[in-house]
Amino acid sequence: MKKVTLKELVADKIIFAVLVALYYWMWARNDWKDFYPTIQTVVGGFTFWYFVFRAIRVRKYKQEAADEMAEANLHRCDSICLKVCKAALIGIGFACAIGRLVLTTEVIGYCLMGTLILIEVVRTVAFWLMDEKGL
Amino acid sequence: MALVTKLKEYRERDNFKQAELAELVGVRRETIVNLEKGKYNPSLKLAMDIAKVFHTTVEELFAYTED
Repeated sequence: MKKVTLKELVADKIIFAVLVALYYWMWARNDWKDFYPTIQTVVGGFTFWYFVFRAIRVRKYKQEAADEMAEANLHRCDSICLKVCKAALIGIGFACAIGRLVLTTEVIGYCLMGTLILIEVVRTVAFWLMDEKGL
Repeated sequence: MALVTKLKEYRERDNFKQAELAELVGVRRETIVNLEKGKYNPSLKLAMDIAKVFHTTVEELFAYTED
């Protein structure tokens, strides 16, 4: 089996974020179409398989010697992403205050899910850049 | 204070490739690249492992200079 890199584990989190957002959609939707149960079954099956597959890869990563520079870069990246996340939450908070008569909790939820996916994408890109370019 | 290193000099003296040295000390080749450029400060353990490979001391391999 191929060696597990930290880049792979970081990029994985995007898939997890998308799955969480999909589950949110399943809970928050107001309409109902005939193909929705098919989507739910496919997503459910994929989620189970993916969790098991990733758990095996994470276990393998923990057994291998971790590269210290990659881990230091990830800590720096997480520090940056925490600040980005704070800025996003403040933005959403104020948007909710301004649009309180128009925005529903469902829409706010979609904004939060979107922020979750965005943060994971930013974290992955930032980490890859730091690791590749030594920024 | 900047970290200066003689890592590349020692590596070439002993005919190691970056990948080979990386394998010996349990890091990636990119880590060795950044160490040689002075872009990354190694942990004490990594510095000691590298010094052991070259049969030298950490102080001989790494030093801080005043900017």
